[in-house]
Amino acid sequence: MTIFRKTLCTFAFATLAIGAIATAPQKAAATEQDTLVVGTMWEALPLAMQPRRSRFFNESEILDTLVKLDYDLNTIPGLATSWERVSPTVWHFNLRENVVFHDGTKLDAGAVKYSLERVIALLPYAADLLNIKQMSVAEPLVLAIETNEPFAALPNQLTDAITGIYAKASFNDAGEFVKPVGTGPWKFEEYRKQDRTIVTRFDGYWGEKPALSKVEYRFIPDHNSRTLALEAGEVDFIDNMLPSDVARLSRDENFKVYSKPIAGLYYGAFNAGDKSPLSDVRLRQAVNALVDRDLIVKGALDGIGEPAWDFFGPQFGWAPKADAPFKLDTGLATSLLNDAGYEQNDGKWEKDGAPLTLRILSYSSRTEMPAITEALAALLNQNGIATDVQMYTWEGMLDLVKRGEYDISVVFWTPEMTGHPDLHLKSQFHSKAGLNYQFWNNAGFDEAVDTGRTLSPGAEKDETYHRAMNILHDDAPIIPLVHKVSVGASAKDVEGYRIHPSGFFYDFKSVSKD
Amino acid sequence: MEISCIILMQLHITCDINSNRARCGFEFPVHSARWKIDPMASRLAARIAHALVLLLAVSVAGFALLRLMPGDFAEVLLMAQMDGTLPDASQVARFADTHGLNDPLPVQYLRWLGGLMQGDLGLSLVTREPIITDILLRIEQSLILAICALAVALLLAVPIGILCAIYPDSKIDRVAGIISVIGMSIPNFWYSLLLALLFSLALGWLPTGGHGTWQHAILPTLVIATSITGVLSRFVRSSLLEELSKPYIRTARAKGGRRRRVVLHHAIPNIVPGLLTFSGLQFARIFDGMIIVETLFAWPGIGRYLVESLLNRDYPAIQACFLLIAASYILVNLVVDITISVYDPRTREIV
Repeated sequence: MTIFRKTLCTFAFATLAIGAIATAPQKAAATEQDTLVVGTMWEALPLAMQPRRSRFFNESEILDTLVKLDYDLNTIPGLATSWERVSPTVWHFNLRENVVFHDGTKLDAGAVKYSLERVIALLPYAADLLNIKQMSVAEPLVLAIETNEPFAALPNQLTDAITGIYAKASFNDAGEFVKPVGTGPWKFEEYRKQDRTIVTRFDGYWGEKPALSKVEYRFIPDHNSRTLALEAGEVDFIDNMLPSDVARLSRDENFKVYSKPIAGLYYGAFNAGDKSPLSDVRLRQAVNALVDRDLIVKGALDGIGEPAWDFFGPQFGWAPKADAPFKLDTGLATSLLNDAGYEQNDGKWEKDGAPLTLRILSYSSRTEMPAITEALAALLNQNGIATDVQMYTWEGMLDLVKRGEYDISVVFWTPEMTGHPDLHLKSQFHSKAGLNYQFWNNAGFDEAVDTGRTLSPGAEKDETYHRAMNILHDDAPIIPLVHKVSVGASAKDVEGYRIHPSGFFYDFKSVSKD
Repeated sequence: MEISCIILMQLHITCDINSNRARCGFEFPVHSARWKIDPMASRLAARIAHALVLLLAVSVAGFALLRLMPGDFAEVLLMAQMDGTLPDASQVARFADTHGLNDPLPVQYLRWLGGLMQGDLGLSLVTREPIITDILLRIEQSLILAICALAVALLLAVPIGILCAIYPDSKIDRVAGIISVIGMSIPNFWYSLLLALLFSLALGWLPTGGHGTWQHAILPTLVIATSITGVLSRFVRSSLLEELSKPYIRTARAKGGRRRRVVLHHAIPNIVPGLLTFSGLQFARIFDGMIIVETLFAWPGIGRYLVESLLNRDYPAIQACFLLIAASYILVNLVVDITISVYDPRTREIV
C-alpha cells in the first residue's frame, strides 16, 4: 500500500513537473496584431509551380492575373485594364500603367509575353487552356495574342489561377522556375518546409494597399487540429472545416463562420455507351427524376451544399440554363422505365427477369465523395434500382471508366471557375474531347459548344449556350447532385473577409483586424 | 499503405531468418588465415553484407510494385501534377520522354541506383526540390519523436513492470494492468485531440501542432509514449514473472537473498536482452508508423511523407521512403543485436 501511495505521489509529481516545464515558455495564443495567420489543409509549396495548378500564387495574391473575376464571377480588369477582339482570332490586351514587380522591374507587354510563354512551356495543361498560337508586343503596353482558332473565352481563361504573371526574376537562366516574384499586394518572404509560408505587404502595389502587413499560411493537415488551432488562438482563419465544427463554431460568439456556394459541382457521369443500360436516354432521365438531391445534401453533407437540379450554380447570372431544371417526379420515372421495357416486381425494377443494377464508381481521396456516392446508391435502392458501389483511387477509377466498365461515376469539377461555360462543356462533354469517357455523342451539342466559344458576348452566344444546356438536360448524360458550398471560420476580430466563388482567391488585402 | 506494411513485415521476417541462420553456425573460414581477424568483426561484416543485399532486394521490389499500380504510369504521374485533370496523349509522351520513362525498366532502375550511390535521390515530382532535403528533415523529426517517446516509455514502463512482477495479483498490479491496457488500446486520434484540448485549448501551455521547438514535441511524444508504455510494461512484467519462476531464483532465495536483491541483481539482468529486442521493434514502429499522430500534430515524420508521396504519386519520393524505412528496420535490428552482444558476452558468438 505504501508503494502504491508512493507511485501515486511520483505520478502526481511528474505531472506537476511536466506542467511547470510547459508553463515556462510563452503562452501559446494570440497572433500579432498586424499579421493574419491562416491554417491551411494543403501545404503552400511556393517554390514550385506545378502542384495543384499553382493556385497558391493566385489564392494568396503574390501574382496578379491579366483579367480577374468579381464576386459574381464576371470578368473585371486585372493587370489588363481593357481588352478587345480585333479579329476573330486576335486579341489586344491593354496593360495597366505604372505597375512594378516585387523586384522593382516594370510591367510591360514584353514581360507579360515572357511570363505567359514560360507558363505554357512549364505547365502541361496551360497550352490547352489558353489555345494560344502566338503573342506579340503591339505597343509597349499592348499585348497582342493570336489564338489557334476563333476563341471568345480567352479573357475568361486568363483568369485561371495558373496564368498569373511572373517577373523574369521568377525563373533562372535556363528558364526554370525558382520562386514567385509578381505584382500582387503580397510578396513572397519565407517558406519553412512542412510548417508555413509567409508573405508580406508590397508597398509598390498598384491597387489599394492591404491593411495588414503580413500573412502567414500555416500548414495544418488535420481538420480537427485546424479548428482546434483557431480555438486556441494560434491561427486567425481556417477553411475546409468539418460540418460538425461549422455547427459548433456558429454558436460561439468568439468566432465568425463564413459559408457561401462557390464554383463546383458533384455529379454522376453516366456511361452512355453500349456496355451500360444507361445508353437508353429514358433510363438516364428516370434516374434524374428519382434521386432527391435535398436528401443527399442533408444525409451526406450535413446540409453543407446546395441541392443541384441543373448544371451551373443558379446564383451566377452569366451562366446559361436549360428551360427547366430536373425535378423529383416518381410518376415520370415510372412511365419512362416502363417505356424502356422495365417492370416493377415486388418493388424492384426488372427487365426479362433480370434486375436493373447500376455499377457506381467513385474515389475516396476527396473526403465527401464516399458519403455522396453512398447516398446516391441508397436513394436508387429505395426506388427499386439495385446498385453496386465501388470506391477506388482517382486513377483506379479512371482505368475502369476509360474501358467503359461502369454505369455512373461520381465526380467533382469546378465548371464555373473561369466564368465562361466553355471551360467545362467543351472539355468534358464534346464527343471529341479528350476527357469524354462517357461515350456520349450528340451532334447538336458538339455544334453548339463549337460555335459558342467563337462568339463574343451577346444574344447569339446566350442563345447558343442555352441550346447546349437544353440538350444536356434532355439527353441527360449526367445527373447533377450537389453544388459546392465553401465554409471557413475566423476569430471575431477579423474584418472584411468574403468567400470568393472561384475557390482560388482569398482576397486578404481587404481584411483587417480590430 | 497496405503494400508497404506487408513489405516491411516480410522484411522483418527475413531479418529474423538471417539472424537465425547466423545462430545456426554460419561462419566464414577466417581461422585458416595466417593473421587472426577478430571473429566479432568478421561476423559484423557478414551481417552488414546481408543487410545490403536485403536493401537491394527491397529497392527492386519497391520499384517493380509501383509500376504494377493501375493506370498508365506516365499518365498517372502527370495527372497527379495536374490536380487530377486528364492530360492528352502528346503531353504524356513528352512527359515520359523528359523523365526517361520510355527506357526499359532495368535501365531506369540502374539509373536511379547510380544516382543513389552519389547521394542523389532525384527531384520530387511535386515540389521540384531535391528529395534528400525532405528526407533529411523527416529523418530528423522522426528520430526526435522516436527517441523521446521510447525514452519516456522506458522510464515509466520498466519500474511499473517490475513492481507488478514483484507483487503479482496485488492491487498495484491490477491497477497498473488496467492502466496499461487502456494505454495500449486508447485510439491515438482521439487521445491526441483530448491532450490537445487540455494542454492547448484549456490550459494554453502547448501549441496544438507544428514543429520546430521542443514544446511542439511534447504532445506527440506523450501520445506515443502512452501506447508504448502499456505494451512495454506488460512485456517487462510477463518476462520478469517467467524469470522469477526459474530454479536459480529459488536457489538465490534459498541462499537467503532478499526479494528485492534477487529481482534486481539476478532476474532483471536476464530480461534485458529480450527487452532490448522488443524496444528496438517499438522504436522502428514509432520511426515510420505514427502517421495519424504525425498528421494530427502536423509533425513532418517519415511515415506521413510516405503516405503523402503515395497519394501524390511522387514516385522518386516513394522510392526513397521505401529504401529509408527498410534501412531503418535493418539498422535497428543490427544495433539491437550488437548492443546485446556487448551487454552479454555469451551471445557474441551468434551476432
